[in-house]
Amino acid sequence: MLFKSKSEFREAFKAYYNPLCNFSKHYLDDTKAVEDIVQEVFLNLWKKRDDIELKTDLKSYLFRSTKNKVLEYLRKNKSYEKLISEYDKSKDLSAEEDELAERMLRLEKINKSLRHLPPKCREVFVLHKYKGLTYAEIAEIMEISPKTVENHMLKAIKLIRDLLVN
Amino acid sequence: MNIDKIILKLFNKSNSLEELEILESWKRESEQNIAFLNMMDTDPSASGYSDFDTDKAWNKLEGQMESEITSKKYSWMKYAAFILIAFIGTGYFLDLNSDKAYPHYESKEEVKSFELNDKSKIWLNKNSILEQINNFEETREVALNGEAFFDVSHDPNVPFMVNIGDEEFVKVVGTSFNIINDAEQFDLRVYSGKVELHALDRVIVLEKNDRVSKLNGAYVKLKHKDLNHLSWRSNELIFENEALEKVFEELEKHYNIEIKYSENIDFTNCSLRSRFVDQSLDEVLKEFERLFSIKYKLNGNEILIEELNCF
Repeated sequence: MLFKSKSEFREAFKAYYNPLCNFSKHYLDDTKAVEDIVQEVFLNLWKKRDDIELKTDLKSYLFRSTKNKVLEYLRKNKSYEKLISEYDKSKDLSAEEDELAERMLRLEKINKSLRHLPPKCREVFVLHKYKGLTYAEIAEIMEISPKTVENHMLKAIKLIRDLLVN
Repeated sequence: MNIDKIILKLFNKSNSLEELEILESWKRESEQNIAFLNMMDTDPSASGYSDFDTDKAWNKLEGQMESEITSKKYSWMKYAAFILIAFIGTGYFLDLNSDKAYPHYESKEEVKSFELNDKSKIWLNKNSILEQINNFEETREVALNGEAFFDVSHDPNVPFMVNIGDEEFVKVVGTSFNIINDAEQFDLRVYSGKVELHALDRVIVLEKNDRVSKLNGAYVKLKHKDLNHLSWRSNELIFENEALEKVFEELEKHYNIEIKYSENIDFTNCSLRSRFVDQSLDEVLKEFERLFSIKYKLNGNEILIEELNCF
């Protein structure tokens, strides 16, 4: 049996929902459609959980079914007809798609650790690390002292390290 | 020096040579450390990665999964049937060294009432099955398919549990309640004491006059004051100025009949205040003749009302 319990299934859902949505969004820039597609992939998996035999692993199965659902959606919707010629039509993932899937999982890892940071701490981290603002600039925007900015940064690094390395 | 401080200085490109050496040897400690440093340099939103609402999506999915769980119960029933057959086939063997089978109650065209060995009283509605599924020592567990009214004997140390699905059950210590649990519906009404409904990850606590019903795969908590919900057990129908339309519905349910009426009959403003105790369908219809001067035709399970007057 693929999942011993519903909570096990929920763990899989939580781990893969975001990466799968982002993976689909790469081909289909329609948030609502993407959400429906991934939802359907998981509902099918739940329905077939007792009968399904995974040829590979859960990860490959999920990305493969998502790809095929996206293709199905593109075929059904006339406005996307032109787009579809650009995509690989085999049932399996191409090397590029496989690489994209891996990239989504890596991005989810960092994304997930950012989500776990306390809000202020996350804001400081994003502003400094990704947007390149200086301590002084952040201190002014957020009305805190530069020393507090530094403390938030240290805390963020520690929390992310704990999450990613352990 | 603390590694987080060195990493922070790395972001600002302000490490001393000594710190860079410490960092190098830290990187050599594990692959994960290197992966961590690489990851820190990636801004997910700059890479077009966005956050979808996972919790909301899960709730939606869970609703769809629950409707699927109901149908799964039947595949379990199928296995149960197999096990029972296997049991009969090897009956001699098992009787020698295993526990006796637990009591099993089944009703066909009549309502059954009986007592379990813990003195709990059960009324089993027509076409229902109640099984005792353990030895009643640490817990008292039964499984129900159909409808039953439970008057559970009080024993706080040995909770009474009614299994209604794979991971779903109703738990009580001493109380009275009614459950309908079959392919079409789940309905639980509490008449005294306290009852817990354990459905997958949730626990719903019910007290007197509370009711839980399953609607579109979700459990919904309501109040109940339906006077006739237990008529199958008491054989008593009570109408307190009830609209005639509703009265007919109750009669249909109680006597397992279908009531139809000619198009020209209008009884939107008719109501009934009455009490029928242990009455046959014939007697009830006589009462209707007297009260509403009805004229009707009886055809098997179908009653066609051709005339009706309310005053």
